Amino acid sequence: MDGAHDLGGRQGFGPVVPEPDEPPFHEPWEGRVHGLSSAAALGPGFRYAIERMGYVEYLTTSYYEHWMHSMELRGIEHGHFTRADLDGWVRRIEAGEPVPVRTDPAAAADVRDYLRKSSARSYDGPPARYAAGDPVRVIRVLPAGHTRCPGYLRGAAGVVEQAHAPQPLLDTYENENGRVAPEPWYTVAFAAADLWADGGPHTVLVDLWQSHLEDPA
Amino acid sequence: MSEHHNHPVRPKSPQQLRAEALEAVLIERGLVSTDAVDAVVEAFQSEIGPQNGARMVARAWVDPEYRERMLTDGVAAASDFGFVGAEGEHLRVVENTPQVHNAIVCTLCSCYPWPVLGIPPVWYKSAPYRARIVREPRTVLAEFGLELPEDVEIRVWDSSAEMRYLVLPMRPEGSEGMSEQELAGLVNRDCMIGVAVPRVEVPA
Repeated sequence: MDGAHDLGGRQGFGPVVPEPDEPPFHEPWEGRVHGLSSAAALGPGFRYAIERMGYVEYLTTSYYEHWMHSMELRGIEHGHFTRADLDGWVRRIEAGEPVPVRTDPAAAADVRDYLRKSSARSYDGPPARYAAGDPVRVIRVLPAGHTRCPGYLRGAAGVVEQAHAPQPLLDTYENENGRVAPEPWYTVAFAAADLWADGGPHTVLVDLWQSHLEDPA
Repeated sequence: MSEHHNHPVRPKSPQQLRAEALEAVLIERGLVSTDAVDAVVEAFQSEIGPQNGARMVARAWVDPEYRERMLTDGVAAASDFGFVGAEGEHLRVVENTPQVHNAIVCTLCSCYPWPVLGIPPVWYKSAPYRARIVREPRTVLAEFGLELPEDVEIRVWDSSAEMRYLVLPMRPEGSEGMSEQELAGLVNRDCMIGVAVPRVEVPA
């Protein structure tokens, strides 16, 4: 999706502003949102829900507001709750009601495992079309909906730096309700001067799935 | 609690209200438990953070075999310390040399190697960094106070798929004779993102 999230190479944002001694969470609610996102299975589409926020909201809200938006939207779209349920609880909390407490030691153990144990696994997929050193071109017409191919690479020529064994294409996973479609993927090196007229002499390396690449003309 | 009785109650921000409402709905529906959310918050406030990556870097500086393994199989090198889990399933360590300087970004979102670096800083998630580091890295690094010689090649890694990246910085001058633990203390988060390099403070 050509949304506000697809930021690589965009101009006009001004300086990067680091914050000294930044804590993991600036407010307790940020930690709660991170925890909710890790612990609650609301269904696929985490990223695409954020990408549909719209430019003004996306660029003027914080990271954890993006996450909160994603959880609200996916919860509603997957039928877990309604906007009215959320609004109702906002009013109850404003009136002084506390957030209910529910303990589930097994669920707490599961989320600890999620953070501390690898869930990596291998997948069968179509054969690799490219190997390290091969010249490739990024497709010009990107997938509709969610895509892991950044817009700044449309049609760009690069060279495969490393080839990787198949993993589910996340475009498909997000756009087709969790459908698993493994594909080989590649780390592709691009000369910045091939991407932008004012691109310096540096190299940009991007991980792309096989579907994002074609043979150079 | 009586000593706090007369303090004005800070009104809840709209974000806090929304977050509490979301948690309440999810608990009401049985989709989440309070202790599971607590566990995540505690993990990122204590054991999952850049101190983990710093230990790997320090080990690589004193143990050439470990360094070699780290560069060929980042996951195995992180596993030696138990630094595995979500957002660390695929990890590649990229090495700074006198010829090459590396920096990491996620232009589409804010992907980041949680088990070794923890939660990304706000600037890493911000539009200016994500937009600019791929296009004008030398300028952005200079704004961070890192001036690189003209002949150093800059490589910017955009974590758009499954791989997460960690920069292995060069061991700084003046660190000869330091213990592995002291070396880890020289390595901060920014060095492992690639917007800074480790330095030994020279007493004035």
